Amino acid sequence: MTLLEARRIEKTFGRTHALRGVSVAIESGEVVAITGPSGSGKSTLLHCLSGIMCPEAGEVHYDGRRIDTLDEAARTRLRRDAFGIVFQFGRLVPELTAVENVALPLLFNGDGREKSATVARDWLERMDALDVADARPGELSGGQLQRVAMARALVTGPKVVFADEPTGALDSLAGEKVLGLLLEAARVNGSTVVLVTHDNQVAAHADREIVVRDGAAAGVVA
Amino acid sequence: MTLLRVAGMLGRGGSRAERARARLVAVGAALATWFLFGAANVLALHGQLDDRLGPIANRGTRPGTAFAFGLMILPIAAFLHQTGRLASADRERRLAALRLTGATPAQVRLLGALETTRSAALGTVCGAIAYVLLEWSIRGLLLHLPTTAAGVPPALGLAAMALVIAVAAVSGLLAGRHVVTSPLGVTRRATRRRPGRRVLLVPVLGCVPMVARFAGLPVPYRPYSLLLGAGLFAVGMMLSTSLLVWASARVAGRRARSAETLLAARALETDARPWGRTMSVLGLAVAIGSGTGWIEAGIMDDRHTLDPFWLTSFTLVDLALLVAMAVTAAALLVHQAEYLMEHGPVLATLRATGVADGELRRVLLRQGIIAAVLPCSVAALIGLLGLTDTGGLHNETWAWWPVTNAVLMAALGVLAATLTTKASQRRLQRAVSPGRLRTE
Repeated sequence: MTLLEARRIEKTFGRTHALRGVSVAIESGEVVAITGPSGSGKSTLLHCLSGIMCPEAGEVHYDGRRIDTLDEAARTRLRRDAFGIVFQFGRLVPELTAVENVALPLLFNGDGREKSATVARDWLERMDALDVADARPGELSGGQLQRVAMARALVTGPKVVFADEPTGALDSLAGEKVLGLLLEAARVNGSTVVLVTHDNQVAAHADREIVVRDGAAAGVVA
Repeated sequence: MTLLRVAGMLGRGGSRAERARARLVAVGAALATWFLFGAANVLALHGQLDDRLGPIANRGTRPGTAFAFGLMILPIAAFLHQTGRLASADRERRLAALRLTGATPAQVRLLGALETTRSAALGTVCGAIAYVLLEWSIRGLLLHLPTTAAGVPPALGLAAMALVIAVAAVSGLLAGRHVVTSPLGVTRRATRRRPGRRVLLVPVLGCVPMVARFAGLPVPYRPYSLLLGAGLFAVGMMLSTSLLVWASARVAGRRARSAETLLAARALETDARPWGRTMSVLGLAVAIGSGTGWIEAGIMDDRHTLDPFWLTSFTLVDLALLVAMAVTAAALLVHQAEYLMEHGPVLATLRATGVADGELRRVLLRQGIIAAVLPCSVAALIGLLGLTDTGGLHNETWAWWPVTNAVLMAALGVLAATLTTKASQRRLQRAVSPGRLRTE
């Protein structure tokens, strides 16, 4: 069953065509890697699929519903309820401890502080990061930062996890561990994973690889 | 000379935010020059003038008025100090790159200070010229006073300009003290320390002569010891404001039940000093405003009606307090801009992960409330209790005047701090745009 679909989407930044009529369809429970060289438009595609950006032409559908025409508030709710997003450098709130960072989406959903902290600690344990629960981002290594960021993305039980170069800032060993944890947690959760990478080793973990070149889908590798 | 040339080259290549910083520093310096020139101008006046000029009219009230003008430099100094830190991330990156070319840490810090000093010098000169021109026109055209009457004495004017430039230079040097630039071109901010508790000793020491007086104990060297105590108390309370903001944020962070309060409190707790600096000046304005309530009540109780002299005086005092609050609020606005610039990628990430714009706006709003409520309340209470003198009033119902004044001043202080967050909303929109997800 198709969970997420982009139909001939286009996006420009000034005179640069980031996406030129890209179409992709992602099945429920699938792990898809979007690959391509730097500047090919893979991050823009991820941003459009996740509702962070709206394409200028074409359509984006999630779970049978068109999302690119929703207003910002509705897309925000969708991202909060159905999507989890991980970025390259973790991007945690520097003033909060790891457990507070992970609990943040739950607190924004209106859950109590103690309950949120308990669930957050549980997710940190699953991400093998419970030992740094009370540390602030400035005290964490790159791998620890990413594991905390993944716990934050997964804590609400999202249907789709988007990861933009999740191992881009890590060495191969730490990257392998982080990716393994993400995919395992997503499998247990039943989440679909869309990950952007330029690393073939990372893409090899995916069920399917969509290659983007010059803003267009250049091919699909199963 | 070489450093000056390098500073000039760097200035030409600055980012938009850095150019905004240079302009704001110049505006702050021009304002400071205006108030100092105003003080010098008042001191140079001779003889009795029209009563409608309020405290400027009488020879006896002129030193106090000049002192009040001088006090106005405090909020402007806070503004200058804050604006000097705007876009510091850009500047630090640029200065760190200079280390790669062989600049020493001292040269790098000096270059940072030179940038601020140059903008301040420009603002001071422009402010001085504008003041002199405006003063001549007002004196001649509006007040019909002879243009030969005393203006700003040149020596005092030059001293005032030198003072403003020196304050800007010191502020520029201080701004660089937390920055560590390595020859690898990497910058890192040294750990932000929690405001120290030892600073509380200063206001406690200041209280000693006053407590001794109220307890009926002998106070040597009166009234100088009392004045020194009051001065120490005021300065101590200003220095302790960062600690008050930090404590308030810590309590709010521990008790936070919502994500917005938690984010706001933790941001304040981690970096309480910029809020503390500006809140200390806002607190001073609140305390003075609150304290003047007693003086006003005493005068109205004594005279039953207000003659033009007192009416003008009260209006001028209230106007000065409002200007002080507005300037301080502008300093807070600059700090908010810096916070948004620094936290842009993190806030953009939060927004991308489903945090609504309204929730992020509430984070900013709660920062203002948490930072302002305690210092403004304490300041209003100090102003109110510091001058308590119900015994001196014939009609005790006038005692409500200072109480109302104190509540109003505290509310105005909190309002000023929270309004800055309202004004930051557009900047917040820009800070969280998806484009910020790409920058690191």
